[in-house]
Amino acid sequence: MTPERAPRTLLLPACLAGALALLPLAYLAVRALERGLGYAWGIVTTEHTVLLLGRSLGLATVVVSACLLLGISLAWLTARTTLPGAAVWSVLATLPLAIPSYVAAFAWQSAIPGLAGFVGSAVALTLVSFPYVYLPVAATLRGIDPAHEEVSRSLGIGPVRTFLRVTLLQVRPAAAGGGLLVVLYVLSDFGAVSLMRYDTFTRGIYTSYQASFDRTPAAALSVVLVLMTVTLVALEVRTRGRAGHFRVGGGAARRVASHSLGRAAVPALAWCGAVTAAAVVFPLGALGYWLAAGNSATWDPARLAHTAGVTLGVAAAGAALTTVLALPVGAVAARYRGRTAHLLEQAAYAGHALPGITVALSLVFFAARYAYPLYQELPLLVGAYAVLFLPVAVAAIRAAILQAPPVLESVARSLGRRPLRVLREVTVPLAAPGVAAGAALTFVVCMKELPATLLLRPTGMDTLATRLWTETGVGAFAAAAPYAAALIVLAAVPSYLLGRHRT
Amino acid sequence: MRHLLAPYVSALAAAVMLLPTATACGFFADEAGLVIYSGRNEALVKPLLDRLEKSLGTSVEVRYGDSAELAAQLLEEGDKTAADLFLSQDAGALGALSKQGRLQRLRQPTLDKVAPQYRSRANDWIGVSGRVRVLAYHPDKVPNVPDSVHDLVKPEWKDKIGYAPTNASFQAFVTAMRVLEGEDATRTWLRGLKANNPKAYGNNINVLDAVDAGQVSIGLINHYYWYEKVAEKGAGNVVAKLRFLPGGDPGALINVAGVGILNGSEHRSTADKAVDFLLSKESQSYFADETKEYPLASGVTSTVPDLPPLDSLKAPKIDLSRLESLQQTLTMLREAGMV
Amino acid sequence: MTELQITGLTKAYDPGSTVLCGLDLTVPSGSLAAVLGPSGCGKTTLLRIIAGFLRPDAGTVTVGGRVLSGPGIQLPPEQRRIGIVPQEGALFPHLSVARNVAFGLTDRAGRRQRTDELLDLVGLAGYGDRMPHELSGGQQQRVALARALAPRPALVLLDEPFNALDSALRADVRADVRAALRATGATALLVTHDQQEALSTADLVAVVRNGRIAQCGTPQDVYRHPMDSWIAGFVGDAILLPATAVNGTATTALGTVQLRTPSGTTADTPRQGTVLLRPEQLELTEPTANTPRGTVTDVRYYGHDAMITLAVDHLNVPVNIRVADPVTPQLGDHTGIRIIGQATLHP
Repeated sequence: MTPERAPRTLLLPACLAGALALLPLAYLAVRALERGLGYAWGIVTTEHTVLLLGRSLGLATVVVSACLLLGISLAWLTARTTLPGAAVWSVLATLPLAIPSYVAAFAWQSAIPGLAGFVGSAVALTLVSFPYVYLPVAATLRGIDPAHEEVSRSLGIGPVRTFLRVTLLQVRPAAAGGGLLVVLYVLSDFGAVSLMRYDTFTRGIYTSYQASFDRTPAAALSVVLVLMTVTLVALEVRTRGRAGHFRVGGGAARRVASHSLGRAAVPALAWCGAVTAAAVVFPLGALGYWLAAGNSATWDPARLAHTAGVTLGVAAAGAALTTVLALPVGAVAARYRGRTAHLLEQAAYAGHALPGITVALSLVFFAARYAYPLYQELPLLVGAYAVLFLPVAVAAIRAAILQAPPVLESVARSLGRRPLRVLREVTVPLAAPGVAAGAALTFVVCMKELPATLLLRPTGMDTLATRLWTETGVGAFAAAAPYAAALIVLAAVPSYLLGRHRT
Repeated sequence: MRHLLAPYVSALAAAVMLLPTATACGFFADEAGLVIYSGRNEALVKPLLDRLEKSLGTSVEVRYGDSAELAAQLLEEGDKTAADLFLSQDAGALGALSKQGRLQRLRQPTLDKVAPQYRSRANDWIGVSGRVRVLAYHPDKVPNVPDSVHDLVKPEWKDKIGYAPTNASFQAFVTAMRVLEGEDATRTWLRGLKANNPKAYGNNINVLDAVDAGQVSIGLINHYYWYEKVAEKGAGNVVAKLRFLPGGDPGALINVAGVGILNGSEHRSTADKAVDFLLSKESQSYFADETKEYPLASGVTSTVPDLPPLDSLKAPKIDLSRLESLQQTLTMLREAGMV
Repeated sequence: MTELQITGLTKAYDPGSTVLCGLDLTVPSGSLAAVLGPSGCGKTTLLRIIAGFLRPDAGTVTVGGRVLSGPGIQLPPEQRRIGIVPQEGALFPHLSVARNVAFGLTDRAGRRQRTDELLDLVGLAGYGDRMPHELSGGQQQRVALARALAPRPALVLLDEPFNALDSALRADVRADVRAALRATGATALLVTHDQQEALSTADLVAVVRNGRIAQCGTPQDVYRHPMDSWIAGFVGDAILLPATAVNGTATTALGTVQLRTPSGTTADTPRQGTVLLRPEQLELTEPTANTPRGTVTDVRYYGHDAMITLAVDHLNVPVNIRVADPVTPQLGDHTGIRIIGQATLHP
């Protein structure tokens, strides 16, 4: 009983959010075409560009495959089996979210210098980004109706084939959504690949800024990333199919039965242990080593506390604004089919694979020209977080709203509520746990953000990430370690809550 | 329509209303003082800039970042920039701004403090501290130290060289070679170096450590890494030695960290004072002591032990603004399979 | 007055697949009409258009003379004053029963009183503080009705509201809903595919077929005088017998039957057609040489009555007969058959 077309009052704020997300694209168009289409085309079609594109796609393919393997296996083990300590493992599986890719890469690289290049980048990126797959898949596995699996088993299909043919199919949209975030994360990552000295497309864009001081080549290359993102989002939308995901039928959901692991418990525990050790224990251990190497001179608790407070503040503001903007987009994307809804979602994602520097420069461009009072003030930084991380929140909110039966919104409208109030009074409270999860995730990624923060922060302001950058810039790893540790500890809190969250 | 959007309008209104309050509380940057964009690391220059603030008697706001990224930011900001001064890690970023006409001509008395080869030919930026490309070698493994980077392409150096091809200072050196000796000669040299299978490291410190540990025999680095290591570990504990190349060899390039005044600056006289402060004896000594770089202002000499005087060096003569043509260097390094 | 008037309603989702084609329907003020049709007939689409969730391609919807959908007019759902009671109630799980009922009440002053009034009306006084999941299915459905009625809507739409209830409860809830609707005097439209529900609950039954109203009338009318054999079969068990009609009497394999509308069937012009009989119009008799006879092939016992299936001589379809308890025929018994009452001849 959903209207065929999204009401204007919902569409308008959603379009506003979409337009904000499209700002970097407008900037890229201006800069890329500054010297004519031919010049831009020439840059995009060099052999080197194609090579970098191939490398980025290769890295993204390997990382997303590995993330799907890690994410789905851990999700299934923790959500659907009698794995001993499942609750603990499910928290541990989300903790890597708290670890910035540059910290993970640094830990691996300093421990195993030979790990540089493709393998090192793939390892570091996989171990920090698999929770993007783990979280939605685990939530789906906990929420799905076990009746389907039971029917499959009763039809003579064995447990493994039932998993492949029924369960895996049911988690496909969740896994695809998470996988998309992983791919975009890999495409936009600069920290890990530069520490691992592996030249990717994004690193090419950074190098272009540093080498030529000419923004046209970097913009032309960025446009390629945008096109790639749009294609990927379209592919992901197709994997969703036409099925609705809200639970049909009233009453409380049946408690999902757990598969008995039996003797397989030992290898299952070993697998969880190995992943956790590599993704959480190892980088924390490396940090511990540097912390221990420090002394009182490198240890400034007052400054650390102040920086942590500032970081929490801007990340919270970023998460709040991103969530508010993502709500109408997520609601439209979840509830309405059609070109407008589709375009909106595409718009939200369009800039997500762009390196932070490009997004930051686009906001520098617009703010310096059209919103100067905001320039290098907190609102602009918070706005940059919203542009960068809108898809993270949209994905979570869209999934959460899909879980809430749309008939309730129809009833609310028939009782005289306008669309925005329906969103506020019915949809959001129903989808609240999922919306909160999206906000928490956004909060974590805002805390870790570096390149846009460096360019757009109010002059003199420091976050944990910028302090980390400053200290490692002079090789003061012992002085950097407390900031890295604080960043991880603070980001671990929402990550922990995400791990505990049951959809 | 108005009341339909009420929640959004009120949120926006609240934000707009809070903004001046926050500004009044001093939450945001103070508009009045001098604003510096610094591509040099905060850990390195903050103590000096604190002294600058005291000396100027006005507030100094500093924005730290990567030199190249700050240059890109300054170019996007154009005339609207709040920055008065750009403190850059290298000459290339300053050259790029100069080329786009973003910098103001400096006062002649200021320019006169530094030798012409360490400042812009357009007189719109000036070097503050200098660093020299050198060879670091392991004395036990290298009985005859080469006199030129051109020697390194000889077969005797196969598998013995360490370098940091992704590092900006190595790339600046290659750019210098291109400017000094031409594209073809540089390409040939890079091919020859590559044929000797040099060991690539992430940065100069790694190269020096590798030389010191004897993992490679010789390495291409900046001079101050060695002096910092000596200061940290003591002269007796550093095995590696330095070779300052003679005869204007491109391998002896002197690059500078410098400063320029932005076109949008509304505090020209304060900015001039700030540049003069950076060239004062106090600041120059600070760079010499803290970073082991060469002070560039005339009349100031480094007190770092064993550091050869600046005017004794036989650096190649080059317009440092031309180090801005890094793109071609990168293409060449790529063709050689180094990055 | 709140009469619902629908004229020429047309809706196609894709070109070529028309769901509604020129549907007309009038529901008088204060009455409860049932829209009865098989799945896919367009009844859900009709409901969504009336509620304002779908825009019709053509046609108008007016309630009490106020145009809700029409040429150039498309009021949003929240401005239509139409209450809906969805399948399974769809109570807001995050709100208490009282807050569910009060959801549509914007006037703060009378809210409390109106809520109590409605909970009382649906027999759930004192349940206001409970949460929806603490109620049984039937109770949830009553709250859903109270919630729909609270803002005094011009029209209430009920979308198969009793589907999820078990059969014992269904009759009770149905009766309560009817009583509540009567008490408030609201005009109501009940969408269902269950003919028993339509006949027993509504004042008016509209049978939908292929996007049009095939027949609209009182339950008795539709049951007893279906316009054609399809409707006859859809609204109840029907025995369709080939017949020849002469002088107001039709002759069938089960004997002769008086026609309700004998006009045109004179001795000179016998007409061929189909006669419709309901199972309760047949009676078992002692088998004699003069009466039609059959053999019992199945007995389905329901308690209060039973359905007997007979194989009848000279008739190639089985015949169902409803007999009251105590049921005596046994499988394989031979029996005679007699027709009671009148019938209609369909061409």
